[in-house]
Amino acid sequence: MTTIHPARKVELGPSRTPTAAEQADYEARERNHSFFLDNQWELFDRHPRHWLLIYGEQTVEAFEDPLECIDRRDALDEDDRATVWIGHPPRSGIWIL
Amino acid sequence: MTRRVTGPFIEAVAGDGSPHSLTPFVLVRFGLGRLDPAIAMLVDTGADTTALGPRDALALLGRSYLDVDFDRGPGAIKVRGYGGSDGSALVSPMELWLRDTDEIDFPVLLNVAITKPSPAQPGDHGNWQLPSLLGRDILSHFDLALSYNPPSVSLIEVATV
Repeated sequence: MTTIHPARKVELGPSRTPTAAEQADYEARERNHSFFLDNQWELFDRHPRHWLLIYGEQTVEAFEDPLECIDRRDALDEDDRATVWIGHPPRSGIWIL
Repeated sequence: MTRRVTGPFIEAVAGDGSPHSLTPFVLVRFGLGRLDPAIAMLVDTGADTTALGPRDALALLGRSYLDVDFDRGPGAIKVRGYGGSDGSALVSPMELWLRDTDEIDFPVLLNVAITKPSPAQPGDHGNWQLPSLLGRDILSHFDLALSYNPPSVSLIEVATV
């Protein structure tokens, strides 16, 4: 089998190990992302037309107006904003990309 | 050394609201600061260019996204196929951060197409329901592995000899 690697068009920057604070933020956001993935159907059954703001220890707020969701996120204190995940999968239609 | 980035499968939704197919995503962060957002981007080998969809662009850029002029300026381009139709986008250099399985972060520098929202105001219709895409411009740097059982998404950078 032959593997053909196309021309590489992107530039990678230097790798680095995250700081303890960055690691903690990443893990907190990952927890909320996993929570969103694990519960997306239940969440969207309850909030079929809403943007979901998930922050802190899996606190979920639902917004009909996406701009209200963004404003609410921006108004959170820094600790909570470090954990934010916004959930908004398609609620109708099939993606045609 | 081989570097591997993994991501989740997310179930898309069919027109009747029932769960559709599992779709591969990779989690990307736009900066490493405390407040920099992370976005799940769809792995799309059919897309030439990495693109930010309206929902994620709004989450990333805030309200200023709605004031962007997409139809003129040096970065303005026409795009075809995003959502099955023609549209506009603004190309901007961005730094996308990926985390490998050893929990090491590394940035990828590339031009990202920020798509024009249609309709202009946020909602759940038009291209607002579309995800952001990781296109071939970045995917071509990696070997892409998809497994459906168990579901796993891997971008693998094989070290050059």
